[in-house]
Amino acid sequence: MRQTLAIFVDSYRELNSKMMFWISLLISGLVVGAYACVGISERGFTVLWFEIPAFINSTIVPPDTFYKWVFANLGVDMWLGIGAMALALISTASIMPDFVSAGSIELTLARPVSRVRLFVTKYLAAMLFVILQVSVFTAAAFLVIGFRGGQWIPGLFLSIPLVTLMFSYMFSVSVFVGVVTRSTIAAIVAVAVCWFVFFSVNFFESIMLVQRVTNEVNVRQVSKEIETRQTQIDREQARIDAADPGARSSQDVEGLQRTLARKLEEKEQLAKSSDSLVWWHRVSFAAKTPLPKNAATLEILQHLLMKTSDFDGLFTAVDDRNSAQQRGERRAMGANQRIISKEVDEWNRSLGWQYVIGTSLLFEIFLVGATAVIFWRRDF
Amino acid sequence: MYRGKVHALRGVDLAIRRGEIFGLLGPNGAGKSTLVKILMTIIKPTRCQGHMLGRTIGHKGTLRKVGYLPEHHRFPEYLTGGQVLDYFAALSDVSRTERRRRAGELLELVGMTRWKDMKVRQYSKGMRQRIGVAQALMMDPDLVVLDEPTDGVDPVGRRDIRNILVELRSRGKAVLVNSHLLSELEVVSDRVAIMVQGRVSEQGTLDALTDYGQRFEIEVEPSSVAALGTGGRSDDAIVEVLRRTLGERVRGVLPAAGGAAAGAAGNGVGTGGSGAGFAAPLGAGEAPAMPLEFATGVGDLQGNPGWIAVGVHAHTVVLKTKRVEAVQPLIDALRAGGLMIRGVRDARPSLEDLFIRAVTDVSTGKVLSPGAGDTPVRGSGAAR
Repeated sequence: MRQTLAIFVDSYRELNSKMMFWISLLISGLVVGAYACVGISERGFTVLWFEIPAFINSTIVPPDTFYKWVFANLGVDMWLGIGAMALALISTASIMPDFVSAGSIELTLARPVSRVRLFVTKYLAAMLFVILQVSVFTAAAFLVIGFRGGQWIPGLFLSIPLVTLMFSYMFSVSVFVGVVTRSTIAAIVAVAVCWFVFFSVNFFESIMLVQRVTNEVNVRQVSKEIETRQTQIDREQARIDAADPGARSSQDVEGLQRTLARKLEEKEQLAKSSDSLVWWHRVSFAAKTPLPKNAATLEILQHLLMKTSDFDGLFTAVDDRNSAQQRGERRAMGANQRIISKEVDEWNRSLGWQYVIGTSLLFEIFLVGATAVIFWRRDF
Repeated sequence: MYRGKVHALRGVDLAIRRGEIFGLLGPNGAGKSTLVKILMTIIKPTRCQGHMLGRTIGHKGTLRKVGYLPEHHRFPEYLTGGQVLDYFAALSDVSRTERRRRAGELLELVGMTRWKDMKVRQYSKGMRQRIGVAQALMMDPDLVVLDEPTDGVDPVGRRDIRNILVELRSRGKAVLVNSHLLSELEVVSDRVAIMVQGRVSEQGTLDALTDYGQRFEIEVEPSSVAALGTGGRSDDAIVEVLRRTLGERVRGVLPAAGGAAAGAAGNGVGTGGSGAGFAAPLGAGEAPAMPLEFATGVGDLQGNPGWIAVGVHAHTVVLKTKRVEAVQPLIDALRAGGLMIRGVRDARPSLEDLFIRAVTDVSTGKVLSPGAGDTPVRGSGAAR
């Protein structure tokens, strides 16, 4: 325990000595400051003591939903998930190469601590960088929302483990390359490349999912339209048959039949592309499964903080406005889009946080385990 | 012991006792650092048998009582000197109270109390070395392993570190010093081992190891040789005096004028110098040629009564003996021959001589190449 504590204290001193740590903390302060300036009122948004009249206001989006959305999307996703994450990964990239460098590692290995314990402790201690950053940011955001918005939301603190988890996925790559090559630059480049690859694979999967869901929604709508047309045709035909059983179909019926034929053809086309989209989505889903899911990990925060129904008020208001302003197909497209978004969101939620964190952690455990074996076996 | 394709050590057999300073010597690539790293679990040998402080080598818990200062060490630059001591002692499982107490004492001992709150990045090489020595002592070790402890340290610092080593020895600690500074080791080491090509070539006390070259040197005043007026080389004149005054008590091949009679009665290894192959003064490495023998009845190098090898080089008569009684008749003979004695010295090879001798290939006379090899090295490596 004494040795573990010593490594943690040393890691704290190390990150304390890094300029980037303080720069990152300063930017976090500015982000929270900006967060403190923004609010929502019955007439629209507020910035400091100014009020900006807007369609979106506290009557359709409750203040707590607004603050949670801003925190999760702008504070966590944008700043902690991208900006602070990049700074943290750059700052911590040198930790392992420095640790295993000649002249330094000898001092540490010649101690009554097993190599695996030494490595794992050092690895976990490096998480302090992010844990401290996110803790300070979240605590400040919690207080700002509490005092300014009157909303006390303890759920915000879930961002600490989630952001740390996301950092740890990428840090495992940095540590692996850092231990193997003993080069900070190589570690940073590897993290950048892997981040891009993980993002690309996950992004491709999400595109495929949207395409698949869109296709499914379209198939349902076309099927519904076919059903409607068929009913209309049957009704019309029945009416004609009742009046004059020997009469030919009216022009209306023929028109309906032509429309029905078009829709059937459309359905056939959609069914064909549906098979292809399902296959591509399965492939991309299989490809992303063993990889870390950075964005999805942070989305868990949104899923935990907010329900889809939290925005029902907003959607209803948007629908009402659109009914007044838009007509026909355009209005239908908007509604369709929302159905697709909702289904995609539900599909993602159905995977559960266990899938997202579990598969990502498996990747991390595998990589850290491999690094630990290399560290354990290596002669320094 | 293999790791990959490197066969760094082969059959190393060393014993370091409590209360002694043990010097580990060897040329670059001899395997000294590998040996130390194996002891400190930094390198994992494929096969290794041995004990350290009563436990098998490689047992991590034993390292609680082992202090270590590696060569070219790098302390975290963001720590102060005091924090370095605290951190590494904590890794060695030393309690906080003990760490505080010992840090104060050791900072004082290495003269770093004033700079304990300064960051390591601001330290000079010598200051880092002093802090390094202090950190190696933080756990009150039973065994201290120091790799080039005086590297980059000024003369005062070296003396301080030497004094620390002596103090540790007096407290019954075992100290293993790996250093290239032979003069440093010569001053403090009780025993040394010389490693060559992954084997221990020589080991033992300095006295025992340098016994082979123990001798007395009688320096003759050159002007008194010239005053004899014999002409020719002055060393030949001295030999002539010895033959004349000692008569039957001296024997051996005499050099022809300006010729090379060297080696006939000597050990066959020439020294250059006189051209006659006579004994060179000590410090030139190999044992000198000893073309003459002198019957004293006192004893030779091994204490056997009988004939003692004698050589002359640069106005100096060299007797291969450790018996001071054997010197007196020769002094008398020289003086009786009209020569003046400038000085008499009880001499033995230096550690450097011993080192050069150990790393020289016995068959080719060349310095052995680094790495463990099959070339026969001098000595068996058995403790003397």
